[in-house]
Amino acid sequence: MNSKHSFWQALIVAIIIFWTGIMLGILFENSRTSKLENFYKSSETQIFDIQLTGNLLMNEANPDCNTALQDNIDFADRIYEEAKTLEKYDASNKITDDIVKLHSRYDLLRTMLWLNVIGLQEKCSNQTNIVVYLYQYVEPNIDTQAKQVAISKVTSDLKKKYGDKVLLIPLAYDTGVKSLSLLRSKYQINEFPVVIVNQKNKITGLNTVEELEKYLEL
Amino acid sequence: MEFVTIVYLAFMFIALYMFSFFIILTFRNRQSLSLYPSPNTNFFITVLIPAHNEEKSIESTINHVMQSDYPQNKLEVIVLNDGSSDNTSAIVKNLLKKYPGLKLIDKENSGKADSLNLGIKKAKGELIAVVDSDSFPAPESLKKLTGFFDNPKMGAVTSFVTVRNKNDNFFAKIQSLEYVILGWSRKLLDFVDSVYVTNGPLSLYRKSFIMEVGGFDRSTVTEDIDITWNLLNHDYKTAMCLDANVSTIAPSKFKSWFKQRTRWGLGGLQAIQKYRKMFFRKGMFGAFILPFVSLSIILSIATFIFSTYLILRAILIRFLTITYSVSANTTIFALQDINFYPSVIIFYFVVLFTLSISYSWYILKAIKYEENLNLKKFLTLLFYILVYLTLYPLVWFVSIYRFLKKDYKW
Repeated sequence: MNSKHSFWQALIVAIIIFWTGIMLGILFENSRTSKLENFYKSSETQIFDIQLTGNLLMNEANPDCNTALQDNIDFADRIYEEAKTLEKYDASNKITDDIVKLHSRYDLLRTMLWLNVIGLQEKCSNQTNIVVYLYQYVEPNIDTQAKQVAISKVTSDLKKKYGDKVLLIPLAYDTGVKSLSLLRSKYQINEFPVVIVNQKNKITGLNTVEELEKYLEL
Repeated sequence: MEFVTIVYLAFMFIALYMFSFFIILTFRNRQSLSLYPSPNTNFFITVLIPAHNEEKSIESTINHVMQSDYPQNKLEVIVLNDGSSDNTSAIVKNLLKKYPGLKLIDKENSGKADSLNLGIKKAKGELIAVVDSDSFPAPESLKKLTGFFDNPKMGAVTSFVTVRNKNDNFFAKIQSLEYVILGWSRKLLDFVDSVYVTNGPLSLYRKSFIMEVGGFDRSTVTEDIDITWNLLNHDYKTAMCLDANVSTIAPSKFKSWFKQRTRWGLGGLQAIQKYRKMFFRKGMFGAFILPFVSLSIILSIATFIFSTYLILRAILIRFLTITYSVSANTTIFALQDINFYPSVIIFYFVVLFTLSISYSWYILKAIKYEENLNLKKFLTLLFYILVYLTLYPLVWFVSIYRFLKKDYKW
């Protein structure tokens, strides 16, 4: 047997193992993405339903602000949990960029939610605080990345503390959602990461829960 | 796909290729690994023992060489005392009466390569065996090496080196594992005509070829690598005999180990520079040996830089996150921060780690490293793979630094 054949035989074996790895990777990533896709489809249906329900409730003689707002809060909580799963999967996915696309779609969904609650807030006296956390998704530097983790925890703590009185919407500002860019221009948001409370207060830098709660209308 | 992932996947592919290559070579040649050709010619052999301040080991080295089962009338042993300032010369002089075939040449200190060249000039043998003065060949080793020279193109044959002082401490024990794995790999490379170094502890050369290629190069710090590449460059063959044993003293302290390894590294770099024009040109030497050795160095350094970057980045992010979390008065760490999902990176890591552990363990069993391969030995192997091998990039950094500074001291 000529051992020099080992050079190309090894190449074939390496390609097979490498290909198996890539396929397994794609399989794992696809299964995770499809799980999130199912969540997303359900959430998408829900946001349309909430919008329609909101329209119907608000067009009546006595608008039912409480029900409409509660629907939005419940929905925000739901997609907040889904977003956490999305972030975790995002960190593990290495080969395909399906999660990135899904991230963008979720941001669109959250922007719709934001617009919806802005509309409700204008019509209803019942105050729920809208806390939007805008962060950088595409290639943040190390400092920004660390800062965003801390701010994310603070906003999460704020939500835990005030429950339904706070509607928390974390949003990546740089995933190409056009309507979000328009909202940024409208509210003149130029610094990131930023926490926006009720579209009036733009809070940049690191803040504690106590500092953020000063901006809440309770 | 991120750049980091692409780099990672490229490394993984090369590692998988090299592993597959060695495993296929093992599978194909498992029956003939320990075989060696029986000699048809009774070559006259001159054993050269270059020595510089080796009073602790020289007597034992000479005794081992003289106890060789090679016909004594076909054996000449020359000790080349390279300007020792200790008792090396006196010890050898005492042994001259005991061994009539033993000769001593006292000379000014001029380095190992120069001593060997002088020895070759004085040698009567058709074959030249080089034995380091801190190494101890097994009695049958010389005979096992000579059969390869019935091939008229054979230029050099090297032996299987083990660590004599492996029980000195854990560091020596780790090196004994390393020597076994290196010896095994070197034998596998023999099957593709790619033995790229004939070691100092015991190697046998054809005198006429050595003289034809200009002898040992005085300007290099590893004359054994240089002479091997020189012979290959002249289209002569090199081989390895796994059954020809020689034991040697390995450094048992980190400082001396590091010095030895940086010298080896420096010698490797000198050889690459000297033969750089042969890349992809001279049969297996240019097509495989030169790229293989160069790629090993590049990968070792690149892996180190890449891993260090990733680890430092992760540490820095964690540190900043903690700092910011403290200043924002929020939780530093939550259980939900633990994130473990299978990915392609984990898959390759598991495959390569399992392969390296299993294959190394197989080598130790096949070589009969020790009778009782227990859990303790397994943990030593684990330490070798996970810790010891990570020291190599540091060796390469220093070797490259010395190479760039042209610091070619021993």
